[in-house]
Amino acid sequence: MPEGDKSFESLALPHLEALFRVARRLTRSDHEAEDLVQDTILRAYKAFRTFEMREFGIRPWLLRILNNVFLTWLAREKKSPRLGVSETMESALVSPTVIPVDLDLDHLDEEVKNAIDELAPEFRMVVVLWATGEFSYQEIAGILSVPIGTVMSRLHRGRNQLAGALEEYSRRNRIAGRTEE
Amino acid sequence: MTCRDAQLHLPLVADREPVSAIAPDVLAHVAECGTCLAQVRSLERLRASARRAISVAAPAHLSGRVRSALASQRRSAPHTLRWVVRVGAVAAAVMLALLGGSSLLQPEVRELVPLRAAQLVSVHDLCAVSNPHDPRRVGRGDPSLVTRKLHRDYGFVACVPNLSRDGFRLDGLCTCVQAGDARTFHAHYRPELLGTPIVSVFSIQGSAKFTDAPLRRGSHFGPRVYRYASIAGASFASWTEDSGTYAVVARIPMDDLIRLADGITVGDARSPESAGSIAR
Repeated sequence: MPEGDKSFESLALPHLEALFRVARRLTRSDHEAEDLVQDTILRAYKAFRTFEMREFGIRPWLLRILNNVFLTWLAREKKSPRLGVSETMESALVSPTVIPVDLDLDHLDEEVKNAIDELAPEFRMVVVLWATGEFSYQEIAGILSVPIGTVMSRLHRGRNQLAGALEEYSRRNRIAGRTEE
Repeated sequence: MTCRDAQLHLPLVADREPVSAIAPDVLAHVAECGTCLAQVRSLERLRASARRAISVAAPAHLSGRVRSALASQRRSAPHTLRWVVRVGAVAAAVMLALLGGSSLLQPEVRELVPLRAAQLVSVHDLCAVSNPHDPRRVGRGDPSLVTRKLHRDYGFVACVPNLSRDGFRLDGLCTCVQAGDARTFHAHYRPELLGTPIVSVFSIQGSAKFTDAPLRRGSHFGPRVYRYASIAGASFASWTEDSGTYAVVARIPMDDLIRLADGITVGDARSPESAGSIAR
């Protein structure tokens, strides 16, 4: 195996788990996530000569390719939803995210997962990258090639939707609890 | 600062964004305000919950699958290089001929894949009986998805057209045709209507030379030149395009078969992005 190929494999393959995690939530399917990860690695391999090791390593670069591949898939499938609202900071930050204090967030992972799945792809990608806890807003902006204001705007909307879905879930459970009583 | 003013900035605090991004009076307010601090803690727990929600282990076979695809990709790269060398060699020979006379001109280097058209017809008949089989596990669903998978996994633009408008659905894909080292794929289609014969579309990597039958040459509506013949009662037509050879076989009249082939486009699976533009 040529030296460059070895170098690519040793750099890229340790990130398969992380790529799969993101791909799984983006595609909502195990099978498609595997395809997306493989497509990402193959494209990264082809473009490896253009890669410059930055201080954060290869993972953001791979995630950037994964995001582009995913968007290409969406465009091909003509499933890409267009954001119908302004994405400016002003429009996003009108209402703050307020999480009901009585929500038991330690036991609502399944509901959070469902709520993430319900997000539009553009919001989902930002929320998934945010959820990994590995990247700052600036780094997410770099991965997605969008301004940091767009990241904050999408994250704000995404987070509000999660909070709204959880609140709704909690409200339904309370009603169900009362009915049982 | 009031709680209302601070609320918009609480996610930045919860997400541990750089302090320079957060107004100093927000931090001071959160340190003193129990309500806002509780909201920050809730936001932190929401993120922790989201992190747990996206945690999923990659399947054990993923690493092997990706390594195998990379190896396949590497194998196809030297093939491109060989073509570059060949083209260079031909160009050099032409230059030498122009400079030193035609006696120096070497015959064109071409790698032909020897094949028998009758073999394709046999595979067509055999797969019609033993169908369905899908040893490559590329699926039977959307033909464009299958084509993309083949291109991605094998680096070869196989032809798996969508024939639904002609009344056929993709029923499987096999590699029953043996053609030396050349990759071959046989896509077979079932008719939507009973009583209609099945259709096969073969993709062979490289230029195939059919050694067994005197094939006629001709075109139909478009620029594509077909080599065609009636073999064992089946209509057979093949053409070379884009460094691959493609053939269709069905037990239908030759005119109908060529009309069907004319509607097939090769190369739909190619990725529109160049390597350099992928990570832009």
